[in-house]
Amino acid sequence: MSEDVVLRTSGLVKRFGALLASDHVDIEVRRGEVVGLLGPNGAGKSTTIGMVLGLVRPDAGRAEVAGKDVAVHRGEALAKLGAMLEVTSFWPHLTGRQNLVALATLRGGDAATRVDPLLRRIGLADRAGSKFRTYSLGMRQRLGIASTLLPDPAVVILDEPANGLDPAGQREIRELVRELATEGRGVLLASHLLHEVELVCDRVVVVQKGRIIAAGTIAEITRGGSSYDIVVADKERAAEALRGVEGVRDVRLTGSGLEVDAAPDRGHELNRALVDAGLYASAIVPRQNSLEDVFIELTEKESNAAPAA
Amino acid sequence: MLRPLRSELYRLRRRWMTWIVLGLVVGLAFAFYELIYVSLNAQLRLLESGSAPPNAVGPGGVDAAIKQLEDTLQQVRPEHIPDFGVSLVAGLGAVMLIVFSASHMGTEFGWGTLRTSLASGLSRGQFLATKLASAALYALLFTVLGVAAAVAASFLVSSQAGFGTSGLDVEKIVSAGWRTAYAFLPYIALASFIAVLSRSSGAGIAAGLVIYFAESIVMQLLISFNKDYATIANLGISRNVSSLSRISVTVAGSNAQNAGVPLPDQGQAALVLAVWIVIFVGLAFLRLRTRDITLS
Repeated sequence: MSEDVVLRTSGLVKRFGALLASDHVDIEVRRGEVVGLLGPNGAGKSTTIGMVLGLVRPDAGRAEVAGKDVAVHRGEALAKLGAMLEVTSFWPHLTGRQNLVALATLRGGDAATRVDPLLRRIGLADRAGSKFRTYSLGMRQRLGIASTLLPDPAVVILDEPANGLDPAGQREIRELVRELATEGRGVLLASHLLHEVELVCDRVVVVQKGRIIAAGTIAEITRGGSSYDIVVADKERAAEALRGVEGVRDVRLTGSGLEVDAAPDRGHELNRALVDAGLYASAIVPRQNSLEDVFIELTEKESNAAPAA
Repeated sequence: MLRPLRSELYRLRRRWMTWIVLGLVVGLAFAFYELIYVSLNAQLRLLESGSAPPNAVGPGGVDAAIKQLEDTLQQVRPEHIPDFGVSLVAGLGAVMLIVFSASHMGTEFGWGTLRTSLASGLSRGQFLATKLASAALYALLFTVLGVAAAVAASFLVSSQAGFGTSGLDVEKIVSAGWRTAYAFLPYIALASFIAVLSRSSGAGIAAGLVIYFAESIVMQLLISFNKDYATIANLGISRNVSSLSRISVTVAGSNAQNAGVPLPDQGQAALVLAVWIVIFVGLAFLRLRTRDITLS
């Protein structure tokens, strides 16, 4: 394992009866990098995270944290990892501070010295003395994030950290995630908030039905999703002319002209093809699809494909 | 192992239930002693004044009835604490510690904090060991406080009754207390195992209590049906627990010989209970080890 890689899963497979929840999932998170783990509900994100944490036993494959196999050196591996699960669970009869102290005691080392600084960092210092059971969803999320940083981890896993947070809170979490990466930690961020992921992640991994269906930088992922809106008088002839152009994936007729799916550098080729056909467009407008557009396209395409064995 | 135990005890100290159960055993110890004194004293006065109803006087006459009540009242004296006082704690403790242990284990599933602990690096084995060790320590504290309360209550009631407060045998009390605390362990292991199996405090409490009462009744019926079945009954929990605390059982009025069938000797009882503890803990570990801890 390269020293830069702080989290690696290799060929993780998990079945729950007939359901294939994870199908050879390979993920790498490097130091200082934020990797988004995307997928619709039930895609296998939480199962993958569960396997990394040793909560779920993989049927095949392995997970390593900072070079340590979680199945073999669980204690050592998880000592370098902080994780916030989708449903934050703490002892309800304890205050926020007491919950962190209890977890810090469990962790050992100098984790206890980080309790108060973390409460301040996460904006919970004022309510640290209140029982966890009285916390709002947003406060619970904040406490969950604070708990991930107790061991001074090399890698942080955050499963839906912005759940229940208001827009200002969501922005704080974004900033915090970037800070964590700046501090040299690797972050694996599972989220439904695609705009959030687009703003904060360096790379994304898209899973569907337990399989990785796309992976790469945001630019790489969305590049294939670029398109052009073309306003032209003779739409049928124009469509026919454009379908033969290299790099064009699809051509659709719209009310005012055409919508052409093609790579972002294909604009001049489209224009040339129209001119060669004796057609003159009054507008060729490039449109870069958002991560959300691409995500929906990818997952719908996968849903329509044959179900996983 | 010490870090998880320290964390566990830190959390345990901050639960109301921890203190309520301890408060109950102390309060009930005093209440039982006081009730026995008040009740027997009232009956004695009625008999002595001649105003007792005829059915309160046995075939031996008033004098014999008075003698019997006076003998019974003597049980509150400090010299009888190893029998009467400790048996009181034993009787209360089995039920209360089943409730406590099932809750102690089951709430970690209900609150989802098992995931939090395991995600923090705790192994399943450490989790189980920590839970059981803390419950065992709690049982010890429960016994110590319960017996101490019984001692205090005995002195208080003996003074009220005008008895002497001499005769306290600390060595006997400690010995009986140890045996009582040990006899709690199979019930703690049983309740914990059921809570792990069902992932629920409620199921652990309900099933634990049902097994506690039903096993005792079934074993009694078995022996009543055929005394040869005592060999089987002696492999259960209840008769071995009775054997370990047999001084107290005799004095509290139960039949230590169990309808003419001797209880197992205490060495054998301790061994059989140890086997049950290992079985319950082993099953709990096997179930926990192979279980995926998911959000559902």
